[in-house]
Formats: sequence, structure tokens, C-alpha cells
Amino acid sequence: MAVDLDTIEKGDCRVRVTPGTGKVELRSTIESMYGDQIRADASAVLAQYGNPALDLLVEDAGALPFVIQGRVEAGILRVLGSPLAALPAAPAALDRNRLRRTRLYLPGSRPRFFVNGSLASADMVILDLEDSVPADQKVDALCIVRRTISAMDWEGAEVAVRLNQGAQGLQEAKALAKSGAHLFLVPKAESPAYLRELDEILESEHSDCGFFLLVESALGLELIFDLLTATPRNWCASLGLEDLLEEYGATRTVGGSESAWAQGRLLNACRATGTQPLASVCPIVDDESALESYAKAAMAMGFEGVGCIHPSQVAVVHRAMHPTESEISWANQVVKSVSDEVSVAVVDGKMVDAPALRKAKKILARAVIS
Amino acid sequence: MSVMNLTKNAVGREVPYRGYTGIYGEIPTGTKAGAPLRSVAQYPSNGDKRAANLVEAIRASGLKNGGTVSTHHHLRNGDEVAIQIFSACEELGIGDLKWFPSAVFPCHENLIPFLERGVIRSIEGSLNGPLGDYASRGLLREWSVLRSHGNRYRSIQAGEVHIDLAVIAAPACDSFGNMTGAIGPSACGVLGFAVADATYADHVIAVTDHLVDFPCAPWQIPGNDVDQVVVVDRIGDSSKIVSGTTVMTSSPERIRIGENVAKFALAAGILRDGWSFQAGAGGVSLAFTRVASQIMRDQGITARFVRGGSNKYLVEMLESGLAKVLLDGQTFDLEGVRSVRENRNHVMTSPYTSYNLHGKGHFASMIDLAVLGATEVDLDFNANVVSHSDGRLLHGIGGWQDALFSPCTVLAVPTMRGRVPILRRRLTTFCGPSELIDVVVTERGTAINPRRQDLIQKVEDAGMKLTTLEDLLHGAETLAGGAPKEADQSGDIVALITWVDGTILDTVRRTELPK
Repeated sequence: MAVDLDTIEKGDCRVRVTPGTGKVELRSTIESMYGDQIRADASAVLAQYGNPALDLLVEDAGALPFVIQGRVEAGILRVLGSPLAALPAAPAALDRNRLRRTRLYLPGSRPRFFVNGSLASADMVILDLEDSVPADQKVDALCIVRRTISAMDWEGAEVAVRLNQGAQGLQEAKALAKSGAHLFLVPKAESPAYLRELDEILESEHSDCGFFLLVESALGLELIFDLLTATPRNWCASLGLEDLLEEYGATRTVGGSESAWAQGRLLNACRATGTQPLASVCPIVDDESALESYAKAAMAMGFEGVGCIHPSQVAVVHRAMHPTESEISWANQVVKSVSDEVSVAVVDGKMVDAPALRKAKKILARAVIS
Repeated sequence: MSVMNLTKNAVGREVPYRGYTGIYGEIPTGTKAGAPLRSVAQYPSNGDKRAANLVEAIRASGLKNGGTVSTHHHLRNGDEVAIQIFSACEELGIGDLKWFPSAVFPCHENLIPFLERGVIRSIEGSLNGPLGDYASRGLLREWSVLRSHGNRYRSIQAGEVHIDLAVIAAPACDSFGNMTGAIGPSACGVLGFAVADATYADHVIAVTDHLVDFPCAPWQIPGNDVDQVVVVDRIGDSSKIVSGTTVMTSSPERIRIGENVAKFALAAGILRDGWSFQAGAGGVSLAFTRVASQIMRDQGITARFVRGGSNKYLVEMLESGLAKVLLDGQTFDLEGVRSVRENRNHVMTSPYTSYNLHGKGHFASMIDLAVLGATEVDLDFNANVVSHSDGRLLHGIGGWQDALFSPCTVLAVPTMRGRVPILRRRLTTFCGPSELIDVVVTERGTAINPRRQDLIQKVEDAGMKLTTLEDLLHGAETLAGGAPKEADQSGDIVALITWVDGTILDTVRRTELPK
């Protein structure tokens, strides 16, 4: 292999854009198999930008088409500085109240890992444009992510994108409004006015995507009720404990007493506003029983999901959150007994009514095998 | 390499001669080839067969120009004997040799100068890495012949390949030539790939860096087959012979495939008390072994035997009682070496017992489940294991073709490698026929060969969902942006792909390698 290609990650590519005449030069590890296609894909992106006077050098180590096109596009944007070309709108089956037991981050700067992002079977996959992406990669990440979402089969997982903060986040939301993403993670949520701006942008793009608020600061937590009521798009919320505890000057412990109040405050505000509360990312990777305890404790408090940093955590959390046989049988009985016509019943010697019915339905939803 | 007449074999591939006719081919007649008869009068009566050094030993062997020299590959990428052999040959002015290794590794790149200088004229054996590229570029003067472990044994047994000199790297050896791989600083565990060489070669030299007092017991190869013993400083780099420890894969894709194989085995009723399986040492196999072990622990069942590629996970199964016996063809890590040394239920095998088609049965056909890889699979369940889809030689055949004889053969593969779909309409190189390939398990789903309605019925009755190769192909090509362009196979033949009976399945052609 040429020296150039050795410095490129397998499954990725590098694109250099220079003034020129629309020439596409390619060096690829799979030249004989996909060379013509890669050149055609790169030229197609140039065409989408009105065939500007640019030459491309594409160095490819087996990247999928949406990665190549995304990096070509980012290269063009860096030179032209123009807005993103429109892409056909992609459908997304939106479901505000779906299961979100687990969520897994995929850094937007490592597209080679996207294709297997669904294999861990997390309920939500988060394509990240924010903290895991270096500043000089953010344009590439946006361009690639925009083309990735509709190109892949996510096996029923919900696809979220974590936006950057401020004006950059607003631009990204506009670009991704019809990309096939289901919802957007809004990091360091602190400003109800900002949420309203985001909401307006999505409205203007005719998008019904939801928001997943990440509250990562003391101020954000103080304003939690205003944040959650700022727009009807707030589907779920979570605390960013790393940043928050740093601001507190506290140390994270296994017992979690240092964040107990903050978690309770978030949970309370979520339940008061009909927002799904999700527990923070769990850093425990090697200790299955400790992770199970974390998930069970979060569930006992009322949280409906846990953040994962590693695929191996997903199955463990799903197992921990799976209802017991007796819970399932109770839930089945409640669902049979309580309805619009029969609003109160007795199950296992206890009175059950509408709230029990809601709880029973949630239990049955968690009784999935994944 | 002149243009010659090619004829189509039974799977439609054009080959120069002796085309493949079917899985079992013809029943052989006649008798086995044999090593020359000798007398104890020709050997030291005190049993000390040591030569002064390798040069003197090869001189005394009578090896001439044009002869065939064989080696085994149990030292894997840590081998330092092959280069010593051909250096000695060059010193003696012997050249034009055919090298007949059981496999080659990247470290054997150091033999390219001997090819260029004509000390080695041709290589018959698995080609991959730098030597594979050398062959793909058409730089070998003769066609290479790729054989499975079983076919290599059979071809020696049949006299199709005549070994003038076998040089056997022996991690431990006594001066009589009794040798084992289970002890010594360069221990490699099993020495099975050298058994045919010891049995049939005209002359056998053992090379060791760990001479022990007679008897080196228990031995895998008896000194009665050995002519001379040479003691050298080092036969190999122990860190590259066996790994310090085998690390379980953390790749979500490989884990998912391993899980899917276990799910299939359970649904098909194959994973049950008293079963047996064979899995390699790759990531998918390890993931499968872990899941299968957990299922067995949960259900309180055990395996009659398992076959490897031994590694720490198979050793754990053996030592914890999950498997009664571990049949070992090749040892991959230090735990495997320790176990084969200490445990009588960790049994050294060879291609003679496991894989030889022309014998009175072989173990491969008795293993309930074989979990193998592949580089390509076509829509009829035929498969390729030696080349990339660009025609480049990637692997040797290894024991893959032999292991296909299991009553249930699973190819556990990802749907794509990078951008390239593994599934295709036509194989670049034909290595394994669909009659022997029962199931394809991928990270996206499992497909069962329509020839196996019995398996399909069983797993569907057990509630497992199946997919088809067509659907898997469609998914992969959608992601890839289409099918890959087929390899240009108009170039000169550089290698022949044999079947386990020695017939020719396909040819490998010269390719332009990417710069």
C-alpha cells in the first residue's frame, strides 16, 4: 500500500480539495472493485454544488459511499463556504414515548464504526457532533452524518444526533431536520430562548423531530421547569453528571449521594411536564453486577433508561431492566382488568386504576427480548 | 507459463488437468508410497544422530539440485528455520529447489531473495502475505499448488509429492530424534503437520534448540523416522510462535456473529449434551466458544469432545469439565501448550487422523458442528477462502476444506469486509462446494442451504427466524453502493487450487496489485 493510504483508517478516506477543473483523482485500496463508483460518487457531489472550479484528490481505504460523499462535501464547503446543498428528505418513524432503555454514542469523526452501530441492539444510537468530535472535524462529521442516517438500516433503533452548542447547533439542526434523524440531543441546555429558536428552525423545515435535553450545569438545573416547558418537542431529558459534578466541586461515588438531589430534581420536573427521564451515562464497563445494580437503582428511582459508553453494557442493562415473571403476570392482569369501561379493579388484593394501567403497559413494553 | 488447453471441471471452472469431479472423487487403488528401507547398521548404535551443523547435515542428506525440501508451520510467524535451511543449501551450492511448506507466514518474506537467486525454484503450499503477493504478481517461475492440510497429507501418502528432504523444527528433541512440541523455549504444542514428512520423506533432519536426554518422552514423532539431529541456538521467536494469551474479541460485529452461531446451534438441536464442535481461534470463533460455554453451563450439559486450534478458552472448557476431550491440530497460545503437556485428555492429532480423505475414516466427518470462515460465498452456498475479491491471494486453505466434511458446517462471516460484500453471484476463486456448506451465519441474520430442509424445519419449529443469501446480498450491496467489479482473470495462471482428493478446483491468476 502507498504510504498515504497507511495513514488513513480502514473504512475511512481523506479528501483534498484544490482549485481546478473538476478532476477527480483517486487512490484506493479497493480501486479494482469500486474505483469507478467512487469517482462517480465524488463527481456527483461536485455536481450538487454546481460543478465549481475545484479538483479532488480522494485517498480511500474502503470507505462506504456516504463517508466518501460526506468528506467530499466537507472539502467543498471548506473552500466555498456555501450552505449545504439540499438532499432529498428522508422519512423517519417518530415515536415520542418509545423505549429508551439504553443509548450508545458513535463519534461523528469515526464513521467506520457507524455501520455496526446497531449491532449492540441499543434502543437509541447517538451520532455525536459535539464533544467526541475535534473542532477541525466538525464540518466533516455533519456532512457524513447527514448522508449516513437514511443510508443505513438501524434495525429499529432510534437515531439521535447530538448537536453542538450555540449558532453551530442551530445550523446543524436546520441541515439535519429531514435527514431521517428522530431526535436531537441538545447539550448543556440552559436557555429556554435557545430551545425556542431550535424549535422554530425545525418548524420551518416541517420537521417533527423531538429534543433530548442534556442538563449539564447548575444553572440549567435551576431552570429545568422552564427548559422542559419551552417547547412541546421535549421528549426526554438527562443529567450530564460529569460536567455538573465538576461544577459542584463534588466527586462521583458509586453510591451517588452527591448527585441524588440533582437526579431527583430532574426526575420531578420530567414527571411534572410529561418528559421521559433518562439516567446519566454509566462509566462501569468491566463489572457486570455493579452495572446491573446501577441500572436497577436508576429504574427504582423512576428513570427509564441508562446511557452506555461501551456496546458490552447494552445487554447487561436490558437484562437488569427486564421485568420479573411476577411483574409481567401482574401487568398482564391489570391490562385485562382495567380499561375505559372498567376504570377500577382489584388485582392481587390491591386496588388498581389508570396509573396502574400506565405502569403495567410500561412493564410489558420492557419485557422485550433483544 | 504458456497458453494451454483448459477444460471445465464439475463446478464449471476451467482447469489445466485432473479436474474436480465431486466431493469424494474416485476411490484410490494401489498402496501408499513409502520411505526408503534402512538398516540400523547405517546409524550410530548409541543412538546419537547429531550432525555438526545444518550445512553438514544437508550435505550428508544427499540433497541435489531440483530436489524437494519440506517444512512444517507450527512455529508460525516466529519461524527461523526455513531461512537457515535455504542459507545452508545456498552455501552448499544446491539450488533450483522446490520448497514444500505446510504453510507460509509473513516472516517468510525473508525467503524472497532465495527465490530471486534461484535457490528456490517453486513453492507448493499455502501462499499469503508477502509471498502471496509475490505469487500474485506472477513472479514465481512455476505454478504454486495450494492444498488443504488433509490433501497435503494425502498427496505425500499417494506419492504425488515426493519429499527428498524433510527438515523438522523440533522444540524439544533427543539425540536419537524423538521429538515433541510440548516443551522447550520455542514450544509450539502440537507437531501434527510434520507427521507426513517424517513418515514418507527420503531423509529427515530434526532441528532443535532444546536437546534433551534420551528419551524425549512422550514424543509425537519417533526418532525411528529421523536420520539426523542438528542443534542450533534458536529455531524461532517464541513470542511469535504462540501468543502470550488469547484475548477475547470486543468487536460488536464478531460478538454478534458468534452469538448467532450459538443461537442456530441451539435451535437446530445440535448444541446438546454430548455434542462436539470445531471452531478456530479467530474473533468469531472465540465469541462463539464463550456463548456456547455459557449455554452449556446454564443447562448443565457437556461436550464429548471439542477440536481446535487450541487456545485458552478451549482449555478452560476442558479443565472445567465442559468438554471431556480436546483434540488439537495446532496450538495457538501458552495455555494450549501447558495443557497439551499436562493433560492426557488434550490429545495431539495430525492431518492423518483428522483430515486425510484417503484413509479409513477421518475425525472431520465425526464432528457435530464446524464453525469456519470464508472470504466469499455465492448464492448457491459455494465458498472461497483463499482470495480477495480483487483476485489477490489472501490465505492458505488450511484445514478449511477438510473441516467442511462435518455433518453441519457453518460459515460464520460478516456480510461485508469494509466496503466489499462477502456474498456475490460468482466466486472469484472456487474453494468449497455447496454440498458440504450447510449454513451461513452473519451479523445480520442466518441462512440455511435449501439442501438441508431438515435443519430449516428444526430451527423454524424452534422459533428462529431465517433469512436468505439473496436478502443478505441485497442489504450489503445497498450499503456498498453496488456489487464490486469482478477481478480480471484473464492473466496467466499463478496457482492451482486443489480439492482434498488432489483434483483441481480452480486457478488463481496474475493480478495487478495496488501501488
